[in-house]
Amino acid sequence: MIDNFLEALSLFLTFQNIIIIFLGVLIGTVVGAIPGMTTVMGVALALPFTFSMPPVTGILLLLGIYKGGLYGGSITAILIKAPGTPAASCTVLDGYPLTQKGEARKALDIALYASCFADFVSNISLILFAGMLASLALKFGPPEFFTLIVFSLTIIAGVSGDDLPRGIISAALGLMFAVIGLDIVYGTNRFIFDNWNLMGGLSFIPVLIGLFALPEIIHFFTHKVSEQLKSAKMSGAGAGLKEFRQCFKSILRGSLIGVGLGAIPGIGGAPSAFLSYSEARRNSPNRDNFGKGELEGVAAAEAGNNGVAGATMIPLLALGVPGDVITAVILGAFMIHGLRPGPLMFVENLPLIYALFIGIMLSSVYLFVIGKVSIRAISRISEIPNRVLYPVVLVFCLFGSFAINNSIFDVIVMLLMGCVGYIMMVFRFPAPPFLIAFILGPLLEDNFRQAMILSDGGLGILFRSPICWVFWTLTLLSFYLLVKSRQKQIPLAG
Amino acid sequence: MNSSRITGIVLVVIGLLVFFVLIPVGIVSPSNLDNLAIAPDFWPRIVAGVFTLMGIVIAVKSGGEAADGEQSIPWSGRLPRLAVVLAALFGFYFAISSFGMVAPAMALIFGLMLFAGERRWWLMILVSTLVPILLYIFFVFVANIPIPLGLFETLRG
Repeated sequence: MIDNFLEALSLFLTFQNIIIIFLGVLIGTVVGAIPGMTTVMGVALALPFTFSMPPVTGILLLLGIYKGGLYGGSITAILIKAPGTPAASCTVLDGYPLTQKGEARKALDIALYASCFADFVSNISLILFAGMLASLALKFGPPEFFTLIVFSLTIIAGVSGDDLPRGIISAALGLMFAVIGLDIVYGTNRFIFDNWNLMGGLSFIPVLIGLFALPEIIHFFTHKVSEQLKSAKMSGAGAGLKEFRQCFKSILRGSLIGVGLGAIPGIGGAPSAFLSYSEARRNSPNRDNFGKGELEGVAAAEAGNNGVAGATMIPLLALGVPGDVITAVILGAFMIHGLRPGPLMFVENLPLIYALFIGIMLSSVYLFVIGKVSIRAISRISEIPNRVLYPVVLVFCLFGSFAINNSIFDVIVMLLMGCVGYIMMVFRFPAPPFLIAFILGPLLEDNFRQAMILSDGGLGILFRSPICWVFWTLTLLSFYLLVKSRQKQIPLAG
Repeated sequence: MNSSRITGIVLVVIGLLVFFVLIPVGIVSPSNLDNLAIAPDFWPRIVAGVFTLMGIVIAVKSGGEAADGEQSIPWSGRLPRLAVVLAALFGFYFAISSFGMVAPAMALIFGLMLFAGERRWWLMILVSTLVPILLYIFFVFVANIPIPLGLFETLRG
């Protein structure tokens, strides 16, 4: 244990790592603060830049962006009523009224304190629970992994928006694109059509960038919109320890809600923020002031939103299944660096996991520092017009796609996936289920086929152990809860 | 017929085409398979089946609903702009083999900023020149990735 920790310290304690986490949180905060840019876009665009870095450094950069992005979305939500991320839409409810009252600074400060506290609680939960879950998962064979991945695919219900059949269609497309390449059991062709570039399957990054960045860019250029960004107003006095104490109950409750919902694949930050907000409103003596500029409302929403950050990493690190879209991207980053998250990583690469834990804890500190020192500058960056921003982002996409394999073929894959993503956007098919199915599809199929080989084709093997039964039950339960929570969230969000 | 129903029917047709045409043509299966569950086309057929089924659900579910949002978007105004953007994107791709990535990227940024309504020439020149050069410097000198320069390859030195 101590040897592993010392090795982790030696892995982590480099100048490069300490700077890169800071940079990650800063980039994430800026990206989150720019309406039109999403945290997923930020992580996807940064991914090609991590190729030349050691695995710990590269993954910490992406985690920094993730955490910064969750907080950054609240800045424009509070200042100009334009949430930078979907999860920050709850922060608008009380954040913007506070700005109108001339108390923007106070709202931003309490959002920062709540975010940092919730992030810290979430990180602690990650450190405590990931190892325990991983040691349990060491007993898994192909049938158990198959049922686990089926359970993980319930994420799709959580990221499908308000139309589950369209989400399932999107996931089916992702699964179909994932089978392109040589068949791993028989070595035969699957949808290769004599194009040797397709033998290894589609690369993850061009698909990711094509799906998540390009449709937004095409959409922007096809709509002739005159941009009239409101200017940010940083007015009023800041919040201090007194305000933090007043909101502490809601912040703690929101953090725990975030941890609980974040650890369940598919729920994500937005439902957590809304649940935390509604619980704070229900329990607050100032409940009538919620929606009119209540500081506790901002704190609860931000705590719920940021509480998921560390918790979504629990299923990723312990089981190798992502908790949401961003952790699905981070799973891709692990794979690109030759690592496979899951229980075996806790046996074979424990120092690396500890090094990530240290970096994740440091990111909470950086979030606080960046929020306190640079919030004014970040709120100005968010005013960069999209007509300047999007052409630049597009060129990042093109260079990033090429850089994966030094291949022009990946550029055309990215462009074609962008067209697919744009068509999906126009016809309201959500992109996240596609990506999650694209990543989990091969794991699902491989484990299913391995189980079938073991049982000589008998489906009974998929119910062979209590673990399988637990996952089948969790799948049904999770599916039911996700559908129910979405039904509740929609009227509340509206 | 509302657009959701049309979308559903189109999806069903696509699903059936994948199941009965694309999978038999695109997936090579060994002829002497005992266990169908591990056949290379087993999983894609399941997925195509789910795809078709969901297409039916969308078509049937749309029965009493109002038309989809996409129908109200004025495509007549959007199509020319879409054509320009796609021409720029695929033009960039085809320019790589001759001109590399840096010069077409400069033209792409400049052109799209102009297209989107930016008129500050100094900003357009500055951004369109600096961004591709900085990306080139990062990928070539930091990440050791040889970004193609096409005709300008001699500049690499």
